[in-house]
Amino acid sequence: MTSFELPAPFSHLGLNSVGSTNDEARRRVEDGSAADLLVVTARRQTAGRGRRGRVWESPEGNLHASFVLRIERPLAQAAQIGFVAALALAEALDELAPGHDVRCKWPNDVLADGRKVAGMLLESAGDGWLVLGIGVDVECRPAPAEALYAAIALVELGYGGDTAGVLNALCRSFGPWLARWRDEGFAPIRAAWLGRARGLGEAALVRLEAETLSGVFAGLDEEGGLLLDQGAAGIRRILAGDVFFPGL
Amino acid sequence: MGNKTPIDSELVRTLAALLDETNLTEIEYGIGEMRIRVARQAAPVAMHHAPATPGHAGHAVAMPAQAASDADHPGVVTSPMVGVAYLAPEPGTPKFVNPGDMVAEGQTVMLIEAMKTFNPIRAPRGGKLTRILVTDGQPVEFGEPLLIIE
Repeated sequence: MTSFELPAPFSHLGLNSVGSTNDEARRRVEDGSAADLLVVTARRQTAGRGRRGRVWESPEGNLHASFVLRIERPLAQAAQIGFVAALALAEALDELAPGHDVRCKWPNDVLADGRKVAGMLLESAGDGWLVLGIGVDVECRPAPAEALYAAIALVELGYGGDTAGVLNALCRSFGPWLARWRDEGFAPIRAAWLGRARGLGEAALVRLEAETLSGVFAGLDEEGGLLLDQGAAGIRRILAGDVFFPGL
Repeated sequence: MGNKTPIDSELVRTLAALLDETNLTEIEYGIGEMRIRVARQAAPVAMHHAPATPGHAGHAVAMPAQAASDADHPGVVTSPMVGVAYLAPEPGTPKFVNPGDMVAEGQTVMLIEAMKTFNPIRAPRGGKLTRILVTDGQPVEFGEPLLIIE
């Protein structure tokens, strides 16, 4: 993939092969060569990563993109970018593959007809910078046995374009939502995200490092934490974990 | 609750007794904004939103002076955010740092995750890492002492 024009205000750096687009983007932040709103893509990643060291399969034909973002807010609020991006990707999918039930799943997954189409990994990089990595399964998806969640690729949803088409659509929706977050904060993002949230009000399991909690997915707090209603045990605020909805 | 929350020594005593009685290693109790954790490990009492003051002597719970000295220690590194602390880059890999290590300014010493956003915590100065005050996978509050570099 060579660099091409992206919708304003984004700029593009297209690479052929890279270990991880997040690592490449972070290196460019650290050496001062990356500007706000740069998007680094690669045709393939040789060491794509997910949460807590999970492998993210990154073959050619899928989108591997990392956004470099300047964050003028406290570090704790940078995580809200994941909700902004998930919302933007959900909107883009409505356009790319219409007619499917596209939902956001805490904290920043996007599901089509209940199956995961993309993964995100956000990493702060230096003072006031965030790298937002997004992998979208456009042509290929992991085999069921290798995936933590059921997955689906965009081609299976009827999308006939390429990764550039996905990135363009994503940038068109991400730009305005990002501007809104920068101007107005999390409240409008939270409201829109909850409007298309997966499993709201449903029984949920949350797997933490050392234990699994059960309860009802009751909503998001003002910062983006998942509120798990555990009945008599009260409402627990979750900031990190894997969420499953056994009843859905 | 403000900073002048007096410690409820009766409550701490009750929790300590409960800890003994139940053989648990840790009890966390919350009233409003205040939380009290009573535990048997190295830093047994962590008071959030209230300064720790010495409790009664002779019991595992009677080491809040330790927690207070951690927070006041000139070499303390505190959490910039609420989240979950990780001591290793990935499960099953070696820790970023271990007590006794010399660390360089800017070196990553742990990660804090909130909502799948990973924030490397970097050493604000070089020196000897003397203690790590959190465990792998532990939830941490804003301002909570993470480790000490001397």
